[in-house]
Amino acid sequence: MDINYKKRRELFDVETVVTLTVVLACMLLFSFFPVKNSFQEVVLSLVFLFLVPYLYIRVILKKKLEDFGFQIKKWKGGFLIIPACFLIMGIFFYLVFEYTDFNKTYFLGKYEMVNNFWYLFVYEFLIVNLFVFLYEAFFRGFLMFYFKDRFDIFAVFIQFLLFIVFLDLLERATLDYIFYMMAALLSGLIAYKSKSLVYSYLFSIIVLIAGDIIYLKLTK
Amino acid sequence: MKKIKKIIKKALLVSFVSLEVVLINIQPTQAGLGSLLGGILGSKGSAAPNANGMLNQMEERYHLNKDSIKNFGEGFNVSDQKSPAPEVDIFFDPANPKFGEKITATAIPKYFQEGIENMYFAWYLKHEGCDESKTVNADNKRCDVDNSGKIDTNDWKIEAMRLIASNGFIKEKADYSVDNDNDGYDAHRGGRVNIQETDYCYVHDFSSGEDYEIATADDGDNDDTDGFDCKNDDGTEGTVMCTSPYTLSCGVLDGEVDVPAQDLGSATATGGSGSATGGDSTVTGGDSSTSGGSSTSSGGDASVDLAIPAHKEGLSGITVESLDAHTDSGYAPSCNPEKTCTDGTQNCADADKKQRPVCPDGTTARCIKDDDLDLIDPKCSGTESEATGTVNLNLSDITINGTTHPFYMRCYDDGRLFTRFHGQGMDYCGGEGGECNVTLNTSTGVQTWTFDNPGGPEPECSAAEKGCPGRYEDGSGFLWKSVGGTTGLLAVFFPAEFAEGCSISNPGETDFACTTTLYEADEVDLKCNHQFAKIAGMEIGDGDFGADEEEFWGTDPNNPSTAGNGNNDEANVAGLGQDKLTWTYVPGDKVGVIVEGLSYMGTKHDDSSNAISFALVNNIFHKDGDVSAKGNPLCQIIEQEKYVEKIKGYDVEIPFAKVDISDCLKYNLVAPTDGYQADNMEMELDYYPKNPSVGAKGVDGSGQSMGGDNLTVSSNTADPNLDTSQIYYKWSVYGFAGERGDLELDVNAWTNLSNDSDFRSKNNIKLLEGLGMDQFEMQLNDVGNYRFLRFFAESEEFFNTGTGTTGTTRSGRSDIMVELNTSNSSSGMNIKTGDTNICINSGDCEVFSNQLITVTLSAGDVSNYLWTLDGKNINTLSKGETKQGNSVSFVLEGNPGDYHTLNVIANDTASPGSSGNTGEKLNISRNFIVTKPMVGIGPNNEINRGDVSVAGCLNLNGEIDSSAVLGTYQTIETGAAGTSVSDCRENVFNGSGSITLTPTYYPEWIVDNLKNVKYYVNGTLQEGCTTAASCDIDLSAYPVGSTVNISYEAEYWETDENRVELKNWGVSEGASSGIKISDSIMAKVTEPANQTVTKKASKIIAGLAYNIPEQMIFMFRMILTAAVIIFAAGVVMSLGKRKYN
Repeated sequence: MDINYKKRRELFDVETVVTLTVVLACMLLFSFFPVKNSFQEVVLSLVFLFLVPYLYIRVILKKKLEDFGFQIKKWKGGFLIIPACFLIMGIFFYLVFEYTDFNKTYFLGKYEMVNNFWYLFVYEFLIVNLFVFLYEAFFRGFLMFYFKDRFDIFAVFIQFLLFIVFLDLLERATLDYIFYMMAALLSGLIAYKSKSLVYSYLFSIIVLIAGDIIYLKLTK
Repeated sequence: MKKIKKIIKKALLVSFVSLEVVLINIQPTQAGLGSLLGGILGSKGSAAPNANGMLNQMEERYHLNKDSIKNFGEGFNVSDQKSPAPEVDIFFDPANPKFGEKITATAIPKYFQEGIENMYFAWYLKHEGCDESKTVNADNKRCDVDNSGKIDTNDWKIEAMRLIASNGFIKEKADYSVDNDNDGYDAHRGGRVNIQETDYCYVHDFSSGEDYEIATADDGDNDDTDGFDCKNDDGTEGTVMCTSPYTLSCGVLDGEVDVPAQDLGSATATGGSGSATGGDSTVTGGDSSTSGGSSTSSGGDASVDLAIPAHKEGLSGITVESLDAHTDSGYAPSCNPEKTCTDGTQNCADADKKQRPVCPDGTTARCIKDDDLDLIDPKCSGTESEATGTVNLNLSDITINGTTHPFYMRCYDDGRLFTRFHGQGMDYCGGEGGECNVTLNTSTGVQTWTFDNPGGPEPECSAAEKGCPGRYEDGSGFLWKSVGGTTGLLAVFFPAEFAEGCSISNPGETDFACTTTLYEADEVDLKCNHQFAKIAGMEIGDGDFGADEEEFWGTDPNNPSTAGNGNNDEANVAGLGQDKLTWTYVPGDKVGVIVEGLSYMGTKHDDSSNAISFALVNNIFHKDGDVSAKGNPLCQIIEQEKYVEKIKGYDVEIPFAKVDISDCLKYNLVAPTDGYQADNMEMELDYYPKNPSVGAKGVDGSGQSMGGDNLTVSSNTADPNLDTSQIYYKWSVYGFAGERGDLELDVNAWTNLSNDSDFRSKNNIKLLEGLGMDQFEMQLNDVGNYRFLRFFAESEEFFNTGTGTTGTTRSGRSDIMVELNTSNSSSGMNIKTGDTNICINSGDCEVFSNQLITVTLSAGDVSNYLWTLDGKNINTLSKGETKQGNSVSFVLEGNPGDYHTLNVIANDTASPGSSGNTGEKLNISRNFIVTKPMVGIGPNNEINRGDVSVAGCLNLNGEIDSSAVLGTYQTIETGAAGTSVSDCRENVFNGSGSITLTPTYYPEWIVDNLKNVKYYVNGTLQEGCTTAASCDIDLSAYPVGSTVNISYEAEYWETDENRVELKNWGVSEGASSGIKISDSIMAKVTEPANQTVTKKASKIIAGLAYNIPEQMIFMFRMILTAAVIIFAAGVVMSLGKRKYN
């Protein structure tokens, strides 16, 4: 009886509700907080996708960051699943490029900077990298690892769904972000298995940059 | 001329018909053609003609319709009365003469043989107040030009002919004591070239159509009435006719008869040799002949019977018998006015000398009583229609030896009746020597003759001769048989008790008298005289024109042709060839002319004479009831009689009458203002262009300008002397919406459009009426659904009759219909620079100097284009193109305010053999004005000044600001108070809080081509404002009452593609670089309306924060938000844990 009671308590306790509320608050504020320039956008992202979760983990939950994937100790589990995810992603690439209008509509094609390697390099390793890191930290690190103890593998899908909702709030749940969505699911699996954000981060950044390069190769 | 042709055609047809009749009467007597025409003419195969049969056959042959012939005949009967008679028309120049103006009357004679130069024109001119009068007083003394003491038509003639002869010669210059110019002229009657032996003058009665020789009769005993001495037994009038003989033929042409069986003998053959002898058998009746012969054979005996079985044979070619008959020739007998003896001669002492009826040769005058009328045109009658007419035969049956035979009755030459059987006489009664029992069975009894068949010896005498071989006779009847040829037929002549005979007695009497009123030729006096003026002792046309005559007529005694027209003076007085009369017009003047010449009508006299005829302008030679005060007839054709002249053996009747043409002149006067000239102004309308196109509604709002053709309707009058500037015109326009097949001429079916001011406005109709407005113009921009326009023009001119002070007007009216080309192709100009549509509004199109303009005509069905810019052709051809398309590009240059006009004409005309040519066409123009770009950032500025979209004077917050009103304009409107329009401040505006600047651009389309857009507030660049459309500026940071300077600047750039293209047009890069536009306003910060305490506090904080860098504030907000989240989460968490604990 005690065991059952404890389980129910862990699922629906105040901490869970508050944590979920904080997650939603961060997502909403990130989406709707008015900004006027790129600097403010970066600050906004750092605050709501990293700073607030960090403070919440450290101050409210009083837990270590290692519990939220900021470690690399159990690398074997994650390392083994990465090839499978790359394979899945490769198939997904094929399907998207072959059977959708991605080639025609992807936003990257509308920018002249893609013709310049350095601009592209800056874009990929500064902007894309930053947001991949923030998304990993928030959705896989903070969100998934928090719910992992309560929902086990379903935490992967919870963070995936919330990520979709998050993109939708940003009006970015479009074909342009299809690889972000797929990467969110697969990197969640990787993080879940490896208990580390390192592999999932590497997976996401590789996949997204590869997607852009493939796109540019096919279209330019 | 038409009438003459008609007469010639009729004459030819009559000649043809007559010739046919003659030929068919002659040719049957010719041996070779008798049988041929026998099948065509006559009845039932007769070669002898029959009038009725002939005509029937002819109708069939030539498809002559009886009714048509009847109509023709009826028309022919009166054709003489329809023949054209000489006439004359008079035309005036000018047609509407004014007082004192020279006017010329020109006579145009018709139906005269000779030319004008050979005819006489006796003009007469009557002035106002110069009516015929027996007395002369002070008022009309001027009219008595011959000083005769009366005013008559002679004065009118002299007045006119003096003008012609003297031609304005001043008598005072002449010395009439001597005359040596030898200018006499002997005027032949009927014209200068008439040399016929006897002159016959004729007058045509235009009411009855009769022509009369102008003559008078000696007083004779012609009081008797016309009539013939032909009475019936009861005293009533019998029938008088001219009969012609003909032969009535009756008989069998074809048929079928029974031929009895005939035994032709037998043939026998014996042993090795034998002979057979047949006989000859001949059957005549049909054409049948059978010959036997002999044959020899060996080897046995044989016997054969030769016989012809009974059979039917056809009949043809049987000659019918004829009777002399008489028919009505159609001619009516006339009564010879000369006393004739019974033997037809005039020279006899016969006391019974009477006037006798006469008929044309070949016909006989007969008086036929009504009871004998059936003797005329007798008909065949009897069984099977082969019996002769007029016989009375009661015979119903003929039997020979008990066999009944059909019979066909004919008349023999001696008048006896007979029938003829088919088959030779030997065929009956068992052949020659056989006993014949011939029975005639009649309604009155039966009689039989018995005799032996006389056989068939060749007759050596006439069959009618008694005792002739082959003839049997018994009393008055006999049987006769002959052989040989087609005459070997059995015939039976009937005794008199069975038939009355078949002779036809001549009907009626031929010897009867008549009475007539016809004159003989020597009882008639011809009155063929000229119609010249008559002056006592000075006859015109006598070849003598002495000094006294020269003086009377005012001619030059020393000049044989005072008028200088080639005629000598007396010829001019006679009017020889003078078809014109010129005089000085005084209102009320009337003129006329008697034209004398040879007409086309030939006389009936036995010579070359043609009728000398006279023509009057109104054709009035007879006026019923026109009599003098004493009751004597004046202008009347009277004493209409006939005289008879023996011509070519015929008694030809010639009508004659008496008339005094001078008495008719008063009815044959015309004034220049008579007829249409005075009260009707002939007017014709015409329009241009001939296929006018209707445009769309000016500008359709999408950059496509469309305009219709300029339609001009012009009015033309027939009078070249008309001063149109003095004529008042009124125009009206009607529309018809239906199709061409629905058109109605009734104006009530049309809609009056010119009353519609909206229609006039749309179609640029300005004037509808006015002086001298002989042209009406409109532009076909919008005519609604009307497919046809109808233009009515009315004109009115003051017309000075000179008879009074008020005068009068004459008017004219006309109308014309115009079919509109209302093609629905959405035609219009699409004007662009780069990708930007410009000129989207109506009016002038604003462009910049050195700007590349591309104009495309979006026309549906046109294919040919003529583009002009300021009247000069422009073309834009791509490589390989040889024909201008629907698009051109050009660069406009100039200073602001310069105008340019672009025009395009387009149609669908295709080369021969190609499709197209539907009449589609366009003509569109557009004006361009060179301008400079401008911008105004205040809510009220010089660009939107007066724009209807600006409701009033606004502040920077978009609210109505009364303090911004400098004053008001008052529009001027007729009959109503004007509208107030605010005059707003355009540089200084009130504003508070956050404001949105929305610049106004001129032209509007530059907004999409602006670069380097910058907004400044007190010189500080507003980073967030980079769009040309609008900019948000927060004035909250500025103290209330302070003034903030807001400025705006941007640059208008052509697209790079356009700039490259402009270089090809010779425009340098510098000249096509950006054009800077800028504007600045002063914003006076005001207290926000409805401000609360809280808002005031936050305003203070905001004011303090205004100076903190924006990024710091943002960071602060972020940190604060994150802190709130963590704090709130911690509070909730701690509360939750406590509860669970």
